[in-house]
Amino acid sequence: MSDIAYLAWRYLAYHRIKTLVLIAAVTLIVYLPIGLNLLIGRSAVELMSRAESTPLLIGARGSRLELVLNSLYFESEAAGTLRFEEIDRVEQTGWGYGIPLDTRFRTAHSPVVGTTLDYFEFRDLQLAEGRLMGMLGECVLGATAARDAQVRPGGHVISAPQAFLDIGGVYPLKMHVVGVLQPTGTPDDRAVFVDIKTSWTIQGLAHGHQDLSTAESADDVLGVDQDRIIASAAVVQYNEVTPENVADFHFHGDPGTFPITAIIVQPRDQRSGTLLEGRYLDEDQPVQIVAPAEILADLVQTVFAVGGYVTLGIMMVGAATLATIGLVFLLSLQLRRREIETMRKIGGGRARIAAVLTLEVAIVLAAGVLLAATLAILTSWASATFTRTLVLLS
Amino acid sequence: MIRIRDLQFRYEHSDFSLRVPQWKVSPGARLAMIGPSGCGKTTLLSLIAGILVPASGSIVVDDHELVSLSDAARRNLRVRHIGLVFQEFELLEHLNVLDNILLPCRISGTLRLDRNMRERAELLADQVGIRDKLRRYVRRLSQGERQRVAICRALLTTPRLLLCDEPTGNLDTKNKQHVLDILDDYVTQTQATLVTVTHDPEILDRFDHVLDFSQFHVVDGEAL
Repeated sequence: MSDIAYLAWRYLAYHRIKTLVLIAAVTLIVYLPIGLNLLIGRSAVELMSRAESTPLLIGARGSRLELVLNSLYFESEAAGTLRFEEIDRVEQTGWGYGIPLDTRFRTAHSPVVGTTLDYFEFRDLQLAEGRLMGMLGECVLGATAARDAQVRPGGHVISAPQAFLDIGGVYPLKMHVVGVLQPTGTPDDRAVFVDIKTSWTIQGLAHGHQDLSTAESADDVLGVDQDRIIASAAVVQYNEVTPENVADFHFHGDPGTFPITAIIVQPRDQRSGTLLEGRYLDEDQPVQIVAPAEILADLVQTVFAVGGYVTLGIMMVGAATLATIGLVFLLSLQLRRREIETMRKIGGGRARIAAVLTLEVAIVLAAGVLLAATLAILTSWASATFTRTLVLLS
Repeated sequence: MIRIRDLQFRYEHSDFSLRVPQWKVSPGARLAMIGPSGCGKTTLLSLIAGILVPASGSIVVDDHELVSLSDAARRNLRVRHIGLVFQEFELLEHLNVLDNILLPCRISGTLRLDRNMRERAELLADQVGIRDKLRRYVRRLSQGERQRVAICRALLTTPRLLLCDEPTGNLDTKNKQHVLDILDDYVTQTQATLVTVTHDPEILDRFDHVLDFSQFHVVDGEAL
């Protein structure tokens, strides 16, 4: 180490707290705008990649953003529901096909996504173990959902009660885990996938109970009115679908009128997509069609605009902090006049003394910039995971 | 040897002025300068050391005419041939004892900090009784120890001229005698010239010559 560097280093090391504070200040000044922009940029990429892989969404009229966030990221409450038969309306046009989504329910840890097997093909989801659901009451877990619930195929998860005080309401459904998906780094990782009929079962639109036409149930039958059997509250309701009782589960009503929260629409081609969008232009309709990429592009643009203002603010604060750091060094020079004079008296040239003092500043700045660069590289490296965790999965 | 002729010096923005028509200090002399504060003793030391430059006149130190030398040459002369000791020690608190002693090497850029120089620093520290404190920061030393560190720094290059500005001004009696013994020993061993500014009449008997500077600077100086 050269003598100049040694002397500069000894000064900084001796005043280590002051040095660390200055380095931290420089690090923050440099890192914050870079880190923020890295995160925003990466978040935008993450948000857009999922949106761009989802051509069109149909959902209840209302907030378009909420519809997208709810259907793509299983975030926020569903804005409303539409009838399952809306899929038929789409497919009858011949312009595309639809995949139903029902995201109204949750387990203790994860959102429950009622859909069809087409969803797994559409999202290219691969099984890590087990199989896809084949029977009512079965479910397939995303990698994170399985880890959080600590279950594997053969285990079970239970739907969360919708209202704690609704004594007469629907009981939670115990669902059998038959498969776990490979991690994808998308919101699918933390979802519990069930067949759309299982989702309706959670809601109570389908239910199972003991067969009231058998002799064993005679005590629970209060009366028979033409084709209806009126039973007492003592009738055993099933909260779990098993191979033994699956035949006792049935729907009341027309499934075509049952609710779903959205339909993912895959148009046959771009023209078909445009034609489909035209079908839902009428604002009097209770449903709407949106292109997620367009909705999120607006959101991302807003985020970038806000990010720009925040960056500007940080840079202004940074400039003020740099000025303060400069002032600290200038005041320090005043306080060190005697020390500087001593170095001069015992043979130090002006240039050499100035080099020592300049190097002290340079070391602080370099250390700050180096730390900021390290943080920026780490941010860049971890931003994909971080944004998935923070933005998509939170 | 120091020889001064027709020297005139004046600080900027100050009424103070120093005039020395003629003055000479022989090699190996031990000279004490006394006089009231502000009469120019320290200024004269700075002029002899080449820290200050006179407005006119001549200062010759060991056959080197300081006035005609460049800044760098004056600095080089000071580093190699002149040792400076100050009343306030003028040590750097962020350096340990050894680094303070070696500071002239590190800051001058003209002296090579080699193994010999380190051994010289350790030897000096040993001679003045601070060998065991070489790794300590100077703030943890007593006043007497600090002045001994400053003397080691001044003697590092084995200078032929020692300029001391009230070297015992901040010391108690015991440390005062110790510091003067160190300086005496060095001058005796090396035949170096010692010029000391002091206000302390008790130490004047340690010097060959005593110069009342207040008289000196108003009349022509006497050759010693």
